[in-house]
Amino acid sequence: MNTSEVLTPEEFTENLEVISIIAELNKHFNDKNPLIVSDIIDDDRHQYVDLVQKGGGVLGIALVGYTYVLEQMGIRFFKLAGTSAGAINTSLMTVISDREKPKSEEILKILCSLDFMRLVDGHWLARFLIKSIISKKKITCVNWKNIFLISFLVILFCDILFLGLRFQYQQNHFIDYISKSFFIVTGFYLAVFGSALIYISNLLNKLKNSGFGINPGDYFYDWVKFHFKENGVETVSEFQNKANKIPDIKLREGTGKEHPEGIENLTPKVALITSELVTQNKVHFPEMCDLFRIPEYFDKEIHPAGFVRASMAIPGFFESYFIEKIPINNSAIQLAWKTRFQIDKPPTKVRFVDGGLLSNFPISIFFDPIIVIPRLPTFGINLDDSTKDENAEDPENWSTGSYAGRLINTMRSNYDKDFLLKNAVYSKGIGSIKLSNYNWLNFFLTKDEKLAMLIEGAKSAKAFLMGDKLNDIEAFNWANYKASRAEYIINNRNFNPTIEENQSIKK
Amino acid sequence: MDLTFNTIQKCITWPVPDLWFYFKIFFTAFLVITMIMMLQSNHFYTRVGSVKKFSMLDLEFPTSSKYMAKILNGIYKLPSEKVSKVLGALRCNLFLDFLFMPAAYGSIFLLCMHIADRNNNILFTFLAWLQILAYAFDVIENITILKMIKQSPPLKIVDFIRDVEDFKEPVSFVLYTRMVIIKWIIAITGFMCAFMMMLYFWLANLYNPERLPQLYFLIAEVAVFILLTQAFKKYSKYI
Repeated sequence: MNTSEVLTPEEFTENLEVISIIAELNKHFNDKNPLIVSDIIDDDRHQYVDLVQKGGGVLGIALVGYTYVLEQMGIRFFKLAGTSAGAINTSLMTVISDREKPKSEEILKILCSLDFMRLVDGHWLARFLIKSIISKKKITCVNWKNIFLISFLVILFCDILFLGLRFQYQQNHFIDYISKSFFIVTGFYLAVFGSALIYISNLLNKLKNSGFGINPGDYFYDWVKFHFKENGVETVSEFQNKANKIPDIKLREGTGKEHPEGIENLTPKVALITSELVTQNKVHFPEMCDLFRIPEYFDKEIHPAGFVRASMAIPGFFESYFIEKIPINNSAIQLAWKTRFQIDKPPTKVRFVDGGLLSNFPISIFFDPIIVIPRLPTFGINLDDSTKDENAEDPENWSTGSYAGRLINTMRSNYDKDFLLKNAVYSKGIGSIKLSNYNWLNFFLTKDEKLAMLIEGAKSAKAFLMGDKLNDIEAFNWANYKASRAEYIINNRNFNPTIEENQSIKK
Repeated sequence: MDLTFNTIQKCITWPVPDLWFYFKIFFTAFLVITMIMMLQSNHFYTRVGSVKKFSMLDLEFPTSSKYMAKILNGIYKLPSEKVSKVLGALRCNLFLDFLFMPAAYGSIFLLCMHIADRNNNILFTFLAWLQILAYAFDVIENITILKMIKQSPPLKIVDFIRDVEDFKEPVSFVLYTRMVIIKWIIAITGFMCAFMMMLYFWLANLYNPERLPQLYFLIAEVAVFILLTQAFKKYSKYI
């Protein structure tokens, strides 16, 4: 990678806009108006929140800008969950250092050194096609396809024209020569077309034979494995140990009465969300590892990088991630499937695709209906790449692409949307990063684009904490959040099916 | 200068006597061997993540050296009774390819030489002799794969990132992939250009009508080939 194209962490942390954001936040939250976002703190006065990070392909870079600002303001993360790109950040935040320490700068260093183009590790021609299609906001491959088709039709026309003229002017060697030349050029065109057809046919065959993904995802898997190893994580057990390690926390002074349970049962958790297609279920890693292997075999047969790979397996783009040879005759495995999914006959192999198919923003994951007044909030970081959609007003005239896109989006976002509609109080903890100018599959981002996305994340974090009247964003208010959550739980206990469904999710 | 050009052109253009006779032999051999190879490729399985089919094109156009290694190594991760079957089919396919090559490149060579001779066109002379380069590349490709599958497991799978230094594809792999691409370009270009010229002669009524039975023979051959391969594809599911 050309070093001049590599973004350094300092280019973000020492960016004037970012420095100004931190300064404004420090000025706004002072001794008279301290920032209070949680009742769980540690001896260094860091405040702990749960964090859910949305998926969004390369847009996930912006998440780091957001968490950087939160960490600069003394916020630390107790439970972590993420899907797809959110799972990458979540997993790195899990393995890097301890919960008490800030991690965003380290993650920034890791992401800055990643050549995103290497993630597109399919055939070079596929990489070229993806780059042509995706590096612009709108799909404009139609341009080169049209040029090829039009020029081919022109040449075909000339073939017929000069062949006809040849009959008319049989003694004219020049027309004969031109006529033959056009036929030869047509041959070249057909050679290109034939090659493309063979390649596309091979690609489609590979798509079918290789988990329906253009890119194997090997580079991504090895990249995650490498950085896990750099941080002392090479097995599922080591990942779980880091995920479950409890920091030295306590209740904020004066909140004992609100939280009679103290910090009891407050256990950290990490959830990487993926979609399993054989049984058609949402799966969290590492918690649900016991569905696929007995604990003695976790470390031998599964690598934690596989969790992230499973969460990031964008259908069509990356090959699916498989786990095979599930010991279905083992009673512990059978019990796990029965308990979690009411499945009596577990499958012998499973196939994972991007968690975003079922839950791209798993904001419900830490919901606990038993706790009336929460001890710490659930912060969510939403990656918002929606644009003002003129087509929304004209549903009768949608193109096939628009129709298919909306079909998929309606289905895939319903689960999370439904939870937020029924539990509107959780919206109070969600900050949105506006990224409408970026394409989530554009792995060919420039350095400036990456920096711009990081800064957008930082700005959104500031708006979340301080409020932004211009954009009608209210500042996060912990007291208000607690009261609203408590009111909601009390009013809906025993009546709300969501609460009943979530009885099994415990803190 | 024109004299020198024509002299060179005459020297390297080879008006093959009884061209169509030899072409029929080469083309028939090409179709028969292609059919056998296609049938054998039904047995190409590997375990990469899960058990899946692969094709010769996966070995000719691998996404990376690591992926190629995974495909070949994955054969040895199949159940033991399947390993020998897959390796046998793959080896047979590669050895048959040595017969396929002269049939395929020979056919294209003859077509291009025919056009070159008829048309006094150096481009087709060049395309014809270029098929020898494609032939050579194909031989090297075959030998490379045969050598790889000789050892067990065939290749060491290296993580893309082992240390701070980023992974770079070995030069041998880069050369291999380039060679395969060039081979295909030469073959397809030679064939398509020759085909288009023959189409031109046909449309321009420049062919001897006595050649029609040979044309019917070729069309019938291709039709039988398509029908047989479709039939064998369906039948092979029951093997």
